[in-house]
Amino acid sequence: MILTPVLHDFKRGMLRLSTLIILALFIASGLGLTYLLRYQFLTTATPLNRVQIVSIDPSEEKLYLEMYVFDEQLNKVKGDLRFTITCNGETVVEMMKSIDGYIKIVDRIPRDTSITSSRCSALTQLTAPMSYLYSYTVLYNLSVNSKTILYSIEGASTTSLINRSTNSLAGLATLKIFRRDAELIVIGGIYTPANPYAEFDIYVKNISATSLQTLTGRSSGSTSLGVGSLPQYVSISAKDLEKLGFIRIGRVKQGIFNSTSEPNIYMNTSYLQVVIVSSTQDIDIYSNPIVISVSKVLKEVDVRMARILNTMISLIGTFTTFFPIVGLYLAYIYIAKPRSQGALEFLLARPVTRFEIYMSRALAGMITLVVASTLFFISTTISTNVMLQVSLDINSLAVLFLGLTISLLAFYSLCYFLSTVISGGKYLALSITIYLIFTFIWQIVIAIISITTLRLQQVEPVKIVEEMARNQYRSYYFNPIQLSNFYQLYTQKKYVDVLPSLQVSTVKAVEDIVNPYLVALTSILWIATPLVLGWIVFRKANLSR
Amino acid sequence: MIVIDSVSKRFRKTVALDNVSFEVRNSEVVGYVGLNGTGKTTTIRIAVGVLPPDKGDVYIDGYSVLRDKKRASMFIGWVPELPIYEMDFRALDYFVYLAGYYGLSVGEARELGRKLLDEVGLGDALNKKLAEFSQGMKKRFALAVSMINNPPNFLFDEVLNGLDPQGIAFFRELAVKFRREGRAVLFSSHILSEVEGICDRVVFIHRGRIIGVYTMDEIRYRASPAIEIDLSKIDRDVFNILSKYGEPEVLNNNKVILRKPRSDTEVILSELVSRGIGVREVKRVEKSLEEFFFSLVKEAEEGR
Repeated sequence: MILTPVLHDFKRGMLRLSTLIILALFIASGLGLTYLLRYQFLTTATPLNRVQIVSIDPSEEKLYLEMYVFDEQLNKVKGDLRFTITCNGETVVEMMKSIDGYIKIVDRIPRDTSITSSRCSALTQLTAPMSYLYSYTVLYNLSVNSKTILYSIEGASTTSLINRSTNSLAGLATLKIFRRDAELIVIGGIYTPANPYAEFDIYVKNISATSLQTLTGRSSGSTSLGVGSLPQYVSISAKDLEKLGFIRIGRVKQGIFNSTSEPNIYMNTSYLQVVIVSSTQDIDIYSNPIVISVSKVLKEVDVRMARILNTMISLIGTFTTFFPIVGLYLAYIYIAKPRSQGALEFLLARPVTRFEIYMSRALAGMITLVVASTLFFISTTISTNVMLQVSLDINSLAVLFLGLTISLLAFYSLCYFLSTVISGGKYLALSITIYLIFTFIWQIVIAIISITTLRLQQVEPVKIVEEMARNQYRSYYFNPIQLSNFYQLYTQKKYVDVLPSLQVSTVKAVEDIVNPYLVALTSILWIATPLVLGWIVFRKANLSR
Repeated sequence: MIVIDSVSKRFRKTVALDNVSFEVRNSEVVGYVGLNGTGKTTTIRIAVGVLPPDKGDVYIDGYSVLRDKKRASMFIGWVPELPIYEMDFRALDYFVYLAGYYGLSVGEARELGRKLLDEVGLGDALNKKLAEFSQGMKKRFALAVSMINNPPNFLFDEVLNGLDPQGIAFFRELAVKFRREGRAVLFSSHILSEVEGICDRVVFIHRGRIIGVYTMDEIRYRASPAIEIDLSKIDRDVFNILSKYGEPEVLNNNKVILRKPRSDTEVILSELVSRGIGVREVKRVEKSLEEFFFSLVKEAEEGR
């Protein structure tokens, strides 16, 4: 019976210029942001990893260059390599080579007085071609100056090899460790010009970020060792290391290496303590113990997925921040305004009950919001699918949509209740104030309260950020607009493996706060309670002006 | 038929209606007259189901507005004194919207809307925004909406207020037409003469209480010219003498009012004197309708 008025109210709510403009703006910004993301995918350089050894010995007229270039997924990167040695502003050596992830050049260089007597620098430049995955990239290598032997080894984390016999720097080593599914992949380089045939064992051990394993040298008695401070006359043998829990994961020769360890050993660690030991007894070279963070190797599709998830969450966040204004306005035109004018009285004289008027307008507003959020969500999902060619799974999409809609409905329900209590301009003033509190002021206040109380409790600064996030999530149970954060968290948890580490730590910190049953109950209560309270007021309200 | 049954309503400390009961029968136009703020509109708002009474009930063709509101509303039309609508609607759109509550589809409602709005003289204003309507147009619009279901009962609340002569004539003729069609019409006003030509009966209300229900003939009769005589005695002889000259009515012990006098005062007095009846005072009484109304009010005030 009241279906026609509901549809009519929905039509005038939906086809209202203000609703359409705001919705169009959101859909347009969704499309824009997705396009921007696609543009980023196409043009932003994928961070490239590189391990490189350069050695120039003018006296022996010998040039040694070895390089391995790979991307985030550990794929070899193709490109053109240009190598130059410049002395006194004059290029004395120049080479152009194609590189397919790896290159090794051992060459003679012409005897040139300028190299032996001048300050020279070596430069490698890599030009990777533009493709879907890689953009144009130039890598500038460090310059090395020396009159005699120049050698450098470059990578993300570099450690020195120490020759115990001579107590001098015997070479340079670099390591990068990656975890991909069940594999532990170690990529690095070792250069020991004095012992070109030396072999080295790489030992690793699980470690937490804060507790480093202290190595104790056999011949040094009680000397305890800190990172990077191995003293003289300390000999570390394989047995010593094994006793300390280190495991040998590979033997490598001088040069650049890429080894894969046995699977399923180091799956649950973010950091490894690493020691490189010469396997040749008489050379007795070992590295300072170093701590290396283990990087997750994400599939390219996962990287995109993380970005898409974050983009969608940020779009939904913006939508749930600003679109409640439409709900606020709908409650105004459906109840607050006609009530203040006395227009509902004439309506009530029709064959309709108060309850039907109350519910039909509540329903019309809710349908408007659901339709608007559906349009927004569908346009965003389609545009990400089409432009980025990946999509979140259907369950995650459904949960994100549910969160978005519940936030809007909960706030609308609250406004609807307010419109039964006060009408006209007073309603607008109060509802806008409440909107501002729930959207903008809320998180600031919770942050201030959290920081103050946590400082008073002398919580470690590191923990403050986590505790703040936990307090924010606790507070969301009391904020209809922020309810969508709970639903976003569900999706973030699902994609936790592909998310940036900062986000992961937030997700982990708050996951015990977010109880799905409590979230469901809170969502229902936020929608139903104001509606029921509103009806209690409306059923007895004087609708005359 | 509209039956107002023992309706009481209180707004905070003010008693708006106190046990009000009356009925409007089919083929009858009943005037509902009282000063401003005496409870006419409150009665009508309760009757139409937009204001719940504290006590009592209203029955529209037997359906209670409290217990069976939707059905009761199907049988009654209402034209308020100051109709208020959601002003951002256009006339026909709002008509269609309201017709939805009567179960009409959009197509049916548009067709009926054009017809009824044209009938009430708003044929040129179908697409005009309600905010631009004059008071008269708003009342005509309310009438058109009330006629969606062609109800057998109508409530006109101070409907002639603020109308131009054409509008006044329109609603007066409409009330008479409705009576002819067998409908029950309650026509409220604060001016008795306004309802004089159209009503069969008038219900008078003052300070939330019904102070009298008179047929229009009765009112006219009571408001007609009369002679009030203060006599030394009143007995059957005196009453018989006076009956020859008009319609006597004993007011109290010694006072008689002679309505519709058929002779001059001197002739009547000379006969009374010649029969040995002492005449202490004679005065000619002539009341207008409004004076009649005020005399009722005064009596009610005195009787409180």
